[in-house]
Amino acid sequence: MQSNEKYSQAYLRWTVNERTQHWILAISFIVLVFTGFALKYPESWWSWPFLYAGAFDLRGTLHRIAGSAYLALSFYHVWYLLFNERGRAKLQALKLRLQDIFDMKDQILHNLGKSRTVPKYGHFTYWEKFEYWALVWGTLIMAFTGLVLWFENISLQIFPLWFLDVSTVIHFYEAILATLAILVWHFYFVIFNPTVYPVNFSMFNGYITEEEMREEHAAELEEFLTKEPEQEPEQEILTTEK
Amino acid sequence: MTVKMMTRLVCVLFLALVTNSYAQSNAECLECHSDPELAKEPDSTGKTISLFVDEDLFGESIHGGFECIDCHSDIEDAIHEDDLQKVNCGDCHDDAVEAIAASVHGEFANGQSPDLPGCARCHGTHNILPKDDPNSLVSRMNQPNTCGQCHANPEVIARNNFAIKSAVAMYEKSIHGELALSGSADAATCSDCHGGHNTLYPLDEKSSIYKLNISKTCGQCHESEKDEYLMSVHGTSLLEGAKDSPTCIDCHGEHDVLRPDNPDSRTSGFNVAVDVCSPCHASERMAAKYGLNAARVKTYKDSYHGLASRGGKAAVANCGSCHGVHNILPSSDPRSLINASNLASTCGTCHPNASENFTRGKIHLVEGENETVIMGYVEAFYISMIVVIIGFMIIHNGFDLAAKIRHIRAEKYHAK
Repeated sequence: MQSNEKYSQAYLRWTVNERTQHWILAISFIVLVFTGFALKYPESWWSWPFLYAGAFDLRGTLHRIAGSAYLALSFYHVWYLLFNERGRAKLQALKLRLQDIFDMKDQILHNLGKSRTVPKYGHFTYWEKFEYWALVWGTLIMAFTGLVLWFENISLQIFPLWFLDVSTVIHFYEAILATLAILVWHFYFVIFNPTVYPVNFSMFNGYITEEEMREEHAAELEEFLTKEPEQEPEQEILTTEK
Repeated sequence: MTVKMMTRLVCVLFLALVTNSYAQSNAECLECHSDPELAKEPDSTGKTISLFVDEDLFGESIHGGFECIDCHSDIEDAIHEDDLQKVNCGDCHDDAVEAIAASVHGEFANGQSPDLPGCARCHGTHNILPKDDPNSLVSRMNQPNTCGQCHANPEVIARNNFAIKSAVAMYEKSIHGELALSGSADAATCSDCHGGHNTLYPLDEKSSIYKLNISKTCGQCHESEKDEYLMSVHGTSLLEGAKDSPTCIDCHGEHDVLRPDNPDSRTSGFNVAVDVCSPCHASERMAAKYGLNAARVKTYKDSYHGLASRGGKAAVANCGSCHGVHNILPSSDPRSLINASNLASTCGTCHPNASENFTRGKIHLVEGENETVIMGYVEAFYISMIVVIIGFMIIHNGFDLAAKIRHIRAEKYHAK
């Protein structure tokens, strides 16, 4: 864990509500990945829990429960973004801007040693924004194809059979894409990235250190430090001092 | 009363008349032969042959009313020679002896094997009981043991190069064996399929286990299945000369046949695709010969139905769920379960309200077939997307990590 000294300069990034959303998403995502690939690769060693008599039916049930949880969370999340003050501010911060592309270019140039300056990021960096919107896109695709396949008796009254076959193909490849994206992109930025290694604790305790603020959200930190101290923080700004 | 029984009766009466005149009674024989220790001198192989006759067993046997000398007919006096001729059962049972001479066991009598099962090997000697008696050596329940004297004997099996090495062991574990050994009078035992005296090689056209006769043999009990099979594509093709076409045992096995609801059975829903249909329908040789597509089975195995079945889900379609079992027919045949007009009801077995739309598409198509074109595009699109996006991520993060490591090293260096 981080030292107390660091905590003295910590900023609240995720409320309990937001962290709960994240962990419901994380758990349902992991269950979906495991139970889903266990169907596609039934003979693989890691699908052993489902090979006991009758357990393969449990696999399907778990997949649908996790899918339902994910779906319910998605609806709540949309509501949160639209009707919660903080949620609306987060959505504003998540908006894609042309600046994100320039930031990425600058960051890559910097990483290649071509430039000394590092882009100053606001509440969300371009890699967070890209990941978020990729997740939204993936969720839409997985939810639609998943529901088509779950309620096959209804979808087969509406769509031709090949539509379900295509849905199966998409559901599979989108799952691979999503899983790899989480492993390569998300896990790098929240775990293996030296700035946060061994893990970005903000998703556990809600707080981000000043060091992390400086490294990844410099613009936001500046904004925060220059703002009027008597200002009511929760409403206006997403990151608040502890 | 059958002709056979008539002959036998005449035979018995005749013997009774003739032998009575010699008047050597069983009691006289038993004066010596009731001694349990009475035996022949050991022969060259060191084997002692007991000469003891159990009076009670003989009395209970089917021949209990006969005189000893009715069968041991070369005995003329109570004090007789040591070496007597073998009893000739054919004196009365001429039909059985003729049948066995023409059978696969008869061949062994021509000096080809020391393992000839003479009458006594299967029926016993003084203890012969009618075959309906559960204690008879050839009763339904005892046949596996009786035939097993040779057919489960590793030495005999090796000496005679029997192709099937453990027929009896397999049979005992089969559904037929399980039922027969628990006393069922209906379950098939050795002779029901192989015949009794007239057992023949499977390649003999007269054999009950000749490929073209098998459905008839199994049909003795499984009549409706036989009828369905005979009108199926497998049944008609076989009778038209397609020797590869399966008959009962090609799918169910022979001695080791199990109920389809036994998960270990090759005909169980879990195994049917791999163990029953694949050997032919996924075979390149068969596919080339009969114009099938060998990749078809794989498309089932990779479909939801196939995957869930491979994982152990019981309530999921296997080959037989849609194509039928004994009644498999090409989809062009109006009687076929997968004929367009029957698809709604076939799919409807599992999918309630399966409409016409439900059945319009083609299922488990092989790559390259019409409706799979779009799937090919989707697949290609996704694979290239995965390569590009994940590739970009790896490179992007690689640079980031390298830069940060450089930065940390530089800081450490300056700190020194």
